[in-house]
Amino acid sequence: MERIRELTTNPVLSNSARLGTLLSLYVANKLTFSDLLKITELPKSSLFAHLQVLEEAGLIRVRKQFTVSGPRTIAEITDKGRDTVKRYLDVLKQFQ
Amino acid sequence: MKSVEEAKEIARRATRRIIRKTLGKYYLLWSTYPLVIGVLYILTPPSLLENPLPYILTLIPYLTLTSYFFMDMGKKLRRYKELIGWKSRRRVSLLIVLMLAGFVMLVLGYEPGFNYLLILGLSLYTSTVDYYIYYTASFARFRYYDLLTMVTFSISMFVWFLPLPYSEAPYLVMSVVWIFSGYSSLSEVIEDV
Repeated sequence: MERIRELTTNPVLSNSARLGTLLSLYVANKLTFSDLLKITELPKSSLFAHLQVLEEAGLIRVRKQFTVSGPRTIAEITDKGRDTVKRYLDVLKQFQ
Repeated sequence: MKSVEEAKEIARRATRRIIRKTLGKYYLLWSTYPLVIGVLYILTPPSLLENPLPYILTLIPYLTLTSYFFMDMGKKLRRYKELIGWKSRRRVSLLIVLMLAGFVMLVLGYEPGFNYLLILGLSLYTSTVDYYIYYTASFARFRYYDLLTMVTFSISMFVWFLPLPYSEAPYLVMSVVWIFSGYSSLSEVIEDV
């Protein structure tokens, strides 16, 4: 119960859009900013703010990359982010 | 708990995009195969037309790229299934074993004319490939163009391997349909296609 409270009250993961972004990156490993905009259906500024929070917590890495379609902003999950999602899933499994 | 469900819904949309992108690339890749085989047929000297080696060699890059696309997507799909707590690995493994068994029967039974091994191999191979497309596409919302690709693939395979008239026509139709399906799939997920 303590672990559930700890994870759900974690300010980084308490927001559904932020958690959804992290889960999406857990599945995809990396996504472009425009992919994330479509997936999360958030305005640019909100998504940018959520990515900043996740990056400051060390869960993701955001970088510019040159692709065939031009320069793109890419968000990529870090090892810490992957571990956090795994712990989150374990806790959820126990809870269910 | 509501926020977890909302978060999972976002991850589901991400998974859909990944799968649709993979299907789009797969459809576009194989849409070129009939054209490549056609060009190869025209360029091959008549004395070598019976030699299957060039056609088998042509398959290698197609199968390599297909394996790469689907292995990469498979990894991502497995992580998504972890999120939603779905265990169906055994079913996919069985499907791949049946697909390979069908392919082996197809190769062993290949000779001009009808024979039961060839028909069994064709049926097993086409049905498992079709089911795999259906299974994969259903994670990304099954579209009418997924159905079109399945139908044109099955018809082309049967017409190509069995001594039926106008065997080239379905392959050309397949090529056009797969280009359309590939374009439609990618335009769902990529901007400015």
